Amino acid sequence: MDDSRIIELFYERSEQAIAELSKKYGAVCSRVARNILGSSRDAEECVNDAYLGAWNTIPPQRPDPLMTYICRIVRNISIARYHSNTAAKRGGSYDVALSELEDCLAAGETVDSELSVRELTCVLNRFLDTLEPENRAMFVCRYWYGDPVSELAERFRISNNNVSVRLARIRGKLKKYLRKEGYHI
Amino acid sequence: MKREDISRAVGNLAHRHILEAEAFFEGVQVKRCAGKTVLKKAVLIAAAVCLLTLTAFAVSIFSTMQGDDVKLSAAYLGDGVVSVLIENKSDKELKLEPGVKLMLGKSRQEVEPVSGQAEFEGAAVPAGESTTVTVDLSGAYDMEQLEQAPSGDFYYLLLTNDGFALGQRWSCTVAFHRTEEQVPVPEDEVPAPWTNDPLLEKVLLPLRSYFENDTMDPFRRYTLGHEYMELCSRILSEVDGNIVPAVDAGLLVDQSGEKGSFDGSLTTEDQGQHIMQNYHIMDAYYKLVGATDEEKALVLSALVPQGGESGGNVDIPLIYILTYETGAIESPRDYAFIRGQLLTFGQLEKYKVYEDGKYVCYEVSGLFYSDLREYAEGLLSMRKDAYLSDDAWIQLKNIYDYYSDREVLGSLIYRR
Repeated sequence: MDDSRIIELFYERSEQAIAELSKKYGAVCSRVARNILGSSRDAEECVNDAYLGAWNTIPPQRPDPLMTYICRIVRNISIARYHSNTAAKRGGSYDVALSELEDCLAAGETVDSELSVRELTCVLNRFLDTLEPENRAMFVCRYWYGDPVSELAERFRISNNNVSVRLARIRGKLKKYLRKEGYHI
Repeated sequence: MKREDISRAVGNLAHRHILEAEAFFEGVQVKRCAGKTVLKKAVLIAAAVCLLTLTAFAVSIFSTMQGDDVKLSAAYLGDGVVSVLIENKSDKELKLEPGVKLMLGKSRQEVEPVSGQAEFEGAAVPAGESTTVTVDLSGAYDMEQLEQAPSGDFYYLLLTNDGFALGQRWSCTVAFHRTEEQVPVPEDEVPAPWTNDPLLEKVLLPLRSYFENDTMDPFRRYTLGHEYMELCSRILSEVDGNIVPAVDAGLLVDQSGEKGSFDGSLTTEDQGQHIMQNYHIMDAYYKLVGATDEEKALVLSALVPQGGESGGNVDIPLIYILTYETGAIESPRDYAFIRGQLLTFGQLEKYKVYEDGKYVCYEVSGLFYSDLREYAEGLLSMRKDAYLSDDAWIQLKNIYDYYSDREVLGSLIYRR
């Protein structure tokens, strides 16, 4: 079903909207949540919360694209839960991925945290535009979707080691790019 | 830059990059499928040659799926709309084309539409999965006429994957009288492994069916959960008494190992590798812990070897702790609602493990399962990649024995 039709169902307050949303984007939502939380049970709870979030915000919103809208909600809820569960196991895919980026960015100088987040997003978007599509997809899958290296290897049909090396090179390029943009890394 | 800020910055990446990454993989999959299509075409050409001599056996030779691979069941929802549950038990994706035929059972003749066409959008059912679709006959048939069952005959629907002439066809009977109870139930909605558990008898009768069946479909679980909450709301509103909800008070169990250990042979650090804790609204079988999706239990899970040669671990939720605000409990006759049961706080007293000025905690694992081994084996039986090895069982038992000791558990609870 088209996204626009799904959104219409939300506007009609039809519960079928959530069924269609789940049918179309349930798998990618679960993947994002599971990658962050490392637990299918936790992930399912977060995805359900995200559906409720969509139900409460559409209307008035009319998100386009719908996929990134619902995935962002899932991601935010999952990260919030990840942080709230301070005693939860660490070392999941998301945690490792974040550590990789942290190594690359942690020393960056900031004056105002909020501004720097926005700035960094802009810089990252511009940086991604400079990459080959395949490398860009790999970066986004690793750091936005939180996909584990083994899954990326399977999807790109290369070895785990090859994925790690390519990601390391992309991070190296990012570091250089950030320096060029005036970040002190 | 802080870790959280990095995460937020990445989280706000442009839509185009997020969509491109997802589409990129679909592209990779499409390429793979394209490769298969070439092969499929070659096979079809070869098959076409064979068709000249083997017409009589064509269906069985060229069919990509066996009859048993696909199961359809239909239920009439009224106003010309039929809900069809399609279960694809094969290892291939099933693609059903748009278009549907309504047939008469005995003559196997199509029932000619009065006007227009019956509407069916088509469906793609991944291997091993089920989906429910709707067929709308209202624009094509006089439904009042169809709702008068044909004398001594019956109707069935016909769907196809590749045209009605040459493709495979699947059928299911349909009775056109409104029977909401007949909405097909997916076959994967099976009795939960603990259906025979005596605990089920303690669940309030109208709520029992929620706990009796299990489904692997997350969306189905979601809708069942919502139906359950609505039912709980109705039932509990009629209860004469104060029902106190469980809260997430941020209380946790100290798992540093400094105050003691479930296994003296493990270092405190290693001990931490075998347990985890989270607040959950659902239990191990994805059933709601309380009456709403706001009631949470602190669940202490054991991480045990999943068996085989994978070297991985699997988590088994072991200890369920529910927390209540002491100020909200006015009398021991007030109620808590836990896993379908109404219990007074007087009855819960025996489960109490912790109390401070603000909160009181009850360890109620006994309300979630009664036999640890059966429970653990039942949980692992739902996974294809895990089983309860002897080592895993010993570890599980050690963890359970340690944390289910109310005195020990009470001494480990702290507020973060």
